[in-house]
Amino acid sequence: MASTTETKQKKMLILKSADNDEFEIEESVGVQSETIKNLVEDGFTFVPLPNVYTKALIKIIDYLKKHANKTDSNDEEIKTFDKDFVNTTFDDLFELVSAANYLHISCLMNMLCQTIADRIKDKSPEAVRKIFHINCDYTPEEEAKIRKANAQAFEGQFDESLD
Amino acid sequence: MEYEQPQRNPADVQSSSLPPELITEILIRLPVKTLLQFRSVSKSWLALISSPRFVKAHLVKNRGYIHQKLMSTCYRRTMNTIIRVCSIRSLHFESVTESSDLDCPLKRLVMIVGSVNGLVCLNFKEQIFYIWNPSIRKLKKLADLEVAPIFGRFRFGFGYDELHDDYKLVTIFCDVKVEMYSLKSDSWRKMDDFQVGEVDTFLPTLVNSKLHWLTKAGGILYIDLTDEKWGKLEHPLYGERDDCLELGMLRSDLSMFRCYERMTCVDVWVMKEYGIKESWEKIYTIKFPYCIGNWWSPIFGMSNKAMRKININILHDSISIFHDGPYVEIIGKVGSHHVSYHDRVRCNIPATQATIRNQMSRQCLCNI
Repeated sequence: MASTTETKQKKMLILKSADNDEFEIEESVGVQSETIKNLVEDGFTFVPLPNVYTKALIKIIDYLKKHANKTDSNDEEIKTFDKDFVNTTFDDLFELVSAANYLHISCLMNMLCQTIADRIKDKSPEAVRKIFHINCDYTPEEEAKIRKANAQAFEGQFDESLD
Repeated sequence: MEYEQPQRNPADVQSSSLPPELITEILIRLPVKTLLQFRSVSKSWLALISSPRFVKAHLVKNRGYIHQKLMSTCYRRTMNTIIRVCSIRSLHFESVTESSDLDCPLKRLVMIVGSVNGLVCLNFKEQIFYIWNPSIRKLKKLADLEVAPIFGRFRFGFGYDELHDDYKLVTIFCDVKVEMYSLKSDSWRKMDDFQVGEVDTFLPTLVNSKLHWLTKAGGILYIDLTDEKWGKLEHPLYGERDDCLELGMLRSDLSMFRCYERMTCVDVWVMKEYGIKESWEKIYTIKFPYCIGNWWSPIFGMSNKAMRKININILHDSISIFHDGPYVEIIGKVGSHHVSYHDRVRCNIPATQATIRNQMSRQCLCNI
C-alpha cells in the first residue's frame, strides 16, 4: 500500500481481510468500529479481520471514511451515499451485516438491519426462505396447520420476488 | 504490534445463513402481522418469534410514539361494542386517517378496563374479565372473582409490572376489598383489606408500574404493581374539592388536568419528579373554543424528538394537538349524540348514538 507524505503524518492502521488483503486507513476513521477502537487503545496498529472478506471490507472502509467526515453541510450527501450503499443484493447485505456486527459499528448495523427488515416486510414465507437460505423443516401438514392458525395474517398479496 | 485472532472457517462466513442474534436484530424491526406470517418460515423461526425474550425485545424496540394507536370504543344502543383503531402517525401526518375495526370476539357490551403493551383487558357484567390480544387473536377468560359485586362500588384497573414482566388486574370492591390477578400465575389473590377511601376516578392511570386514582378526599391513591403496596400522593390542588380533576399521563409523567370556566379552560399539571409534591408544575393552560363537555378525561400525551414541541392530547370526546404554548389545534370532536370531525379525521369513530371512550393501544406478540 502506497502512502503519501500527508497520510504519514496521521496515525495509520492496517486492516487485513480474511482473504489476506491489507488496507491502510487513518486511525480516526477506523475507531468508529468499537472492535478496532479497543485494539487501538491496546496499542495495536495492525488488525487482522479473519471474519471480514475483502469485498465487504472495501465497502465498510468507504462507509467509515464517508461518515468520519460528517459535518452539518454534507448531511444530504451522506444520505445519498447511505442509500446507494444499501442498494445491493440480500447476500451482500447479509455479509455486510455480519461484518458490521463483528466490527461493532452500531450505526451501520442499524441501517443494514432496518434495510433488510424493510425489504422483507411484504415477502411470502417461501421467498423469505430462499432469501435467507433456510430449508423448510415443516412437513406439509405442519405448515398447513400453522398457516391456518395465521389465517388472519395471511390476507393480502405477497411479494414473491427475491430482490 | 500485531493482533492474532482465531481464524473462522471461511465456509461459515461465506454461506449467507446469519446467526440467530442477527436474525433477531432484523426481525424485531418488523410489524406483528409480518412476524405472524414468518412463523411458518421454519421451526427455528417459529421458536424464535414465540420466545418470551423476543416478544419483550420487540415491545421495547417498538415502544416509540409512532407505533402507538388510538383505540376508540363505541357502545351502541344495539348492545354491541365497536372497537376502532387508528395509528397516531396516520392521525397526525396523513390527510385521511386510516382506521380499522378490531374484531371483538365477545359479541356483547364489554368495557375496556385498560390497554397496556397491546394487551387489552375487557370487562363484562362487572365480575367477568378477559384479557385479549387482538394482534394474535387470542382471548383468555380469567377465573371468576370470589366476590360477586352485585351491590356496591366496584373499581378496577389493568396494568403492567415491568419488574416481573407480568400483567396485573386490580379490583376494589366497596373501597375495601381488594383482589389482584396476575397473568403469569393465572390466579387471583386476595390482598389485605385496605381502607382506600372513596375512589373518585373510574379508571386509573398507569405510570411507573403504578395505578393511580383520584380520591374523594382530595388526593391521589396508588397501588404499586411491583410490590403490591398502596401509597398516597398529593396533587397541586390537594384538598380542593373540584369535580373536574382528572389524572393522565403526559410523556411518561403523571399529570393532572383541571377543567374550569364552564369547561372551556384546562390547566395541565405535570409531576416532573415522581413522588415529589414540589415538582408539580403547571405547564399549559389550554383555552378551548367551546365547552368540552363535563365528562372527559385526557388519556394520552406524548412528544417525540422529531416533533419536540408538540403534544397530542386525546380527551374522551375530542382529539386535539396542542403545541408548546397556550393554544390548541383541535382535529376532531365527538359529541354525545353525533360525531363531527374536522376534515383531517374522516373515519375515526362510527357516527352513531353512542358513548365513546378513547384509549391508547399498540400491537404485541404477547401470548396469553
